Amino acid sequence: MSKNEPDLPELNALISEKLSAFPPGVMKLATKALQLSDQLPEQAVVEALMGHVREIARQQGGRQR
Amino acid sequence: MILHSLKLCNFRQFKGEQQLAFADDDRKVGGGGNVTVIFGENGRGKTGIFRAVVFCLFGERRLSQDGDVPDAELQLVNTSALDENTGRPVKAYVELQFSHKEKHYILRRTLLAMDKNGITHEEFTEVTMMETRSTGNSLAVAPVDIDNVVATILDRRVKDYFLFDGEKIERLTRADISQRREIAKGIKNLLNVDALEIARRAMDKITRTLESDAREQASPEIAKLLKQRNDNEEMQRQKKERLEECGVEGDRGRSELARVDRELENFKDIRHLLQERKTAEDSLAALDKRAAEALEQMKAYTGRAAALLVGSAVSAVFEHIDARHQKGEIPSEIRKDLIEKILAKRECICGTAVCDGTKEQRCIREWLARTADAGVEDAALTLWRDLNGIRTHFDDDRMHVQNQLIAFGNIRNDLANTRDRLSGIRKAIGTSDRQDASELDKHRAQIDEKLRKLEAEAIVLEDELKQLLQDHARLSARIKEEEVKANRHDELSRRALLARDTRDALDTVYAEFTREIRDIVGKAATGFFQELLDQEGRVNLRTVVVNDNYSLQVLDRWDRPFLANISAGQRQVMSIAFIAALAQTAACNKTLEMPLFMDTPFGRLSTEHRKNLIRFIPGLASQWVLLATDTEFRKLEARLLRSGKRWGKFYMLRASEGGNTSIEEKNVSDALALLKEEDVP
Repeated sequence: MSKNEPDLPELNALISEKLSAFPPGVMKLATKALQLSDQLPEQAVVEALMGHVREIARQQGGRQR
Repeated sequence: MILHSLKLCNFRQFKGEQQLAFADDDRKVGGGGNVTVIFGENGRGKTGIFRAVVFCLFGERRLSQDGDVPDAELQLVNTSALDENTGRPVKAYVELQFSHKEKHYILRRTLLAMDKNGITHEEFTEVTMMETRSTGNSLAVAPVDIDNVVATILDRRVKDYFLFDGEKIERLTRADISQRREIAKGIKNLLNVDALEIARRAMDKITRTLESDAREQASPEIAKLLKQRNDNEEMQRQKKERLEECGVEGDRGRSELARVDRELENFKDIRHLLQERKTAEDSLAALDKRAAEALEQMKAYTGRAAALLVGSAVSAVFEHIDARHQKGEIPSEIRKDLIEKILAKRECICGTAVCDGTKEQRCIREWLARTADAGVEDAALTLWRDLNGIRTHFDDDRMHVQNQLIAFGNIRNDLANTRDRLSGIRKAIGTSDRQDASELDKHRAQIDEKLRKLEAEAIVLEDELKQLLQDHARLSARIKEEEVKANRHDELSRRALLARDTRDALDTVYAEFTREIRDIVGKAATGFFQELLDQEGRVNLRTVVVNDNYSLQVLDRWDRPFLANISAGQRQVMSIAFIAALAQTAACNKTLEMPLFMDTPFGRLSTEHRKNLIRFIPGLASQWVLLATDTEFRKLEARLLRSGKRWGKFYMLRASEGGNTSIEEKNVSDALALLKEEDVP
């Protein structure tokens, strides 16, 4: 029942499995978003995710170059 | 969550400190049991115990069943204790001991009350929580964190699924839009969908922010296209929201329609009379109109018809002249002036002398007496001819007036008959109740009209959404094209693109995941529903469907939506089946460690439904606390419960002095002796 405790491993696994079908950068960011959303309120998730977007986009840019 | 004990002090009907322990051993059949029955007649405090649990866990003093009762009238502190302490504060508290995931909790909420000048003032003073871990270490949870700790164990938004008033549980299937959204949020939390939703929304915000930044650095063409796409997405959101509202309003309308139809069924015996009354009223209106027209026509004929008043006199005159005419007296064979000339000359036209005193003279004088003046004769003949003409008109007019009178008379007869018939129908229909039937008919027509409008609106919305989606795809393709043309590879664009792709990925996963979860819950609910239903219900009701907004629908054997037509008892059973399915899904097909706390759940249920619940619930929930009245928990139910070997605790709520209640623990084995026999049908 708790959001902080691993009460629903199979449900979370189901979500992760679905995300694995997307490109690595997207999957990485989406997984991070889910982890943060499990712990933080929405606005805090937005703020925390901005850094991850920057980092993953930079990595992708580096790979493209 | 497993409940262990509840302690009440001066709370509601429970004066002083009283407590009860819950049966909390669900590990095996025949152990300590996991079913607690708290038995009491109406007014003894069953709901007081239910309220105490909700109050202790969530600090809520109101229950959904309190409806419009003002806060000031909802007194939690025991009245007798207040009476005995006038002018002095009385302390009341509820203490709940429970465990969750190998942690033991003691939660206590305290309030103080004082009676002053006949007015009771109550205020919450303290909430404390002790947490003991399996290691034996205990700590006091900071008051500011207590609500969060409780929320992680049992989400406030789904508490009604686990702690519920049996009479009201079926309302979960009738919740309005805002309530349904709240319930949906709670269910999503329970099924871990809310994290996914938060992630989606957060990623959407990030996408918008980054695209807005990127737009400022983009070419005017790309900036324009980006803005158009954002506007398109906003419109899609609005349309989807309205479409959802249409669906909910439609569900509500169909339920209302079914309710009205059920009520109209009560008036079935007079439905044909209502139809007859309508027909008679229509006939009466038509006859009144025809009578008025006939009167108008008769009035218009009054001038001519008035001549008929002298009809007999005219006939007499005509007949008199005509008789004289027939006899040849008018006109006479010899005119009067010629006779007078013969008498004066005393010589006939043939030369014969007409002497005084002779027989010839006498005959001629008599002839003269019978002969009228030529002018008079002429006038008489003219009159005779005229009267003959008038008489012909009189006949026509008389015939016309007679026909009008006959027609009017017939209309009046029909009017009288129709009025008599209507009066009879009205008498048969009766008064106020029957008036309700026609009001209901009107109401039904209005709902029907509204439903048709909603359906039409939904079709338009779906078409508009389809168009918006096509436009969206076109815009996205154009943006990509323009970006390639402009050779945009700056980091800001990459960030915006990454955020958008991630948001879209989360959207896709969310749609798939929630659909799958709804299917899982729906299938499980269908299974439980079939187990709980009685024989007849099992035949008619086949599938429970969890809609997109987590509202429920039930399909009949022909897969048609049937929720609007099921009984309150079946709704109650369906809600319980849904709760069971949610619990099972959330616990990943294990027994969910969550008590089902039910206040008077059997009131609307048939005996078969009750039997099924009693057999089913102890195996479904980790713990079942049943608050029951003497009419719903009888020897029959007790025997069944005992046969399942999970009934661990039995309490009776007894009336004590001053309108208070005392909690008495009884042996389960003694229950049969204390309960009523089932009603003999």
